[in-house]
Amino acid sequence: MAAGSDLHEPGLALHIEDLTVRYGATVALWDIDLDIPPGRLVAIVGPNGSGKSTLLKAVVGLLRPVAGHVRIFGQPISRARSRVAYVHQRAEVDWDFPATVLEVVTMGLYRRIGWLRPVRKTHRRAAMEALAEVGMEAFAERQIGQLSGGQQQRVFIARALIQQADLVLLDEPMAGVDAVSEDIILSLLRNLRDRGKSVVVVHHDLSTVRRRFDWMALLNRRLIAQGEMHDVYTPANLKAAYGGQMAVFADTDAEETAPSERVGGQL
Amino acid sequence: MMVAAFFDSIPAMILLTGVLVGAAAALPGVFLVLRGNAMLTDAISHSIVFGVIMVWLLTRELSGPVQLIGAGLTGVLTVALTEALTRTGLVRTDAAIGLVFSMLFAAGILLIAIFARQVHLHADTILLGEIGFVWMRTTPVMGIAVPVSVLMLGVVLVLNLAFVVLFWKELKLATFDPALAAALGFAPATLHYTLLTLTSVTAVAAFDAVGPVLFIAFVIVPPATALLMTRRLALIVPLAIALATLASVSGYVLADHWNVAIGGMMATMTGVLFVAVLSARALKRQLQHRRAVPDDPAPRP
Repeated sequence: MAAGSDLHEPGLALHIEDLTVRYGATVALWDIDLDIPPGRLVAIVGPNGSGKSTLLKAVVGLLRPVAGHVRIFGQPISRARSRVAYVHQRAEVDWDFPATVLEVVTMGLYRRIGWLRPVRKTHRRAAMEALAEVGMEAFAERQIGQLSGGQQQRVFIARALIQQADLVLLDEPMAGVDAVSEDIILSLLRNLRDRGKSVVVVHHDLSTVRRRFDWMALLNRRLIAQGEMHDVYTPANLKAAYGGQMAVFADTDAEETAPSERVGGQL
Repeated sequence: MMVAAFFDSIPAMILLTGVLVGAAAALPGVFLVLRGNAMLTDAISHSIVFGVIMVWLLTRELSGPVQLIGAGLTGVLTVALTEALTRTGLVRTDAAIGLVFSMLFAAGILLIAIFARQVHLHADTILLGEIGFVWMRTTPVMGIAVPVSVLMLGVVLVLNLAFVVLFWKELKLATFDPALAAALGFAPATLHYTLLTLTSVTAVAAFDAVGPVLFIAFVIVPPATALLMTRRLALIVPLAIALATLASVSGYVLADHWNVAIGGMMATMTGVLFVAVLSARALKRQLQHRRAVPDDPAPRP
């Protein structure tokens, strides 16, 4: 571990400064400054194409920003890999891949196992325990292609749990999952937070965000607002993020009227 | 001596070459097919024509270690050019690969046409190889004359096997979920390019025997067939090797029987096996459907 003097904003679970990300000529994120305190259940919210997934990808180093930097508990991602778990969208992998549920969960341990070393019985046992946590132990030997959407998501969450990370990033974990899985996922995330972990979730559903999360960042290529849910969830902020798509907010009170489900959200 | 007699037997050497090509090609083939870019093999096997002719122009060697190194370098060159093109942000990765590989292939064919017209480098031989003649060029190994192709393919098979066995878990992760592999620090791109380089090296080792065009069949078809037969990754690899071996042996017997090109018949047999397995699966599924319709697996999202 490097000397403490290398740390920059170590008191924050996630510190993002001046972050700009571009896809070719398109600017996906512009000059983002975001400071997420530890131990919170955080929602990243914004309309389609507002850069929510891009933000997570930049945080874990899958995308190289053109400007700015990211620190996780004070360290760059290259030094913080074992403290971060990242759950991307379900559609990003081929579910026809020949692997069992248990094999996929075990992948979360690969970093701890290390290069060239084989997976052992103790690793598989740990994977079984993680599967039990998400209520999927009966599916351990199933082919991943045979799972429903919600079950697939729970497998991915088990794979993240097993990493025992301090910061867990999830991209749309509740998109297109059944109600049972949604409840399980939510209680798992709350459980993580209650154990002092930091959980950051890209969320698409404005109608549920206020009840489920305690901290929010509103994004639309730029950062619109960040902070405690009750401070950020205001008509003015939502309108700033969603613009014309949020006409419902122009003349109603956000405290009373939850916006219609999935306004500007993804399918 | 029995060993010497074995390496002296023409049918044995042709068969062994076929089996070695099949086994060596199936190893990277499984992961290329699973990644969904099996057709990269098509590109690779074409681009190494450029490497082969360049090495020939420089050293007048058509096989041996220089050619293997040349193939590795061609693989690296191809990857470097592809990455440079992708980095411009003007073309997508797959388009960049298509541009680079076809350019190198065209350059290779042009060079052959200009500089190598009168030598044994003939376009047909280059594209299809001639497995029937592999016994003619031998090199002594511990006092026994071993065909150069057999030796090179043997070395490459060991190389591929070592790579797949040693990096089994890393390859599995990088193939299934490159994003997680990267997030966990497993350098999926490096693994992928190593796989592609090994595929190039295998293509060159198989060059004399089957040529780059038939080589594609050996990389893609046995793994694709094995994938139809099982959903266990650990079984797919040995199964693909077994299928390739079966195709080589039956291809040789049939080619001998009908007096047709051996390499071509071996490649044809990989296809015949694929169709057979595909039909058997379709038949099985139909029978199952008739028996129990409501017992379907969980619906896909």
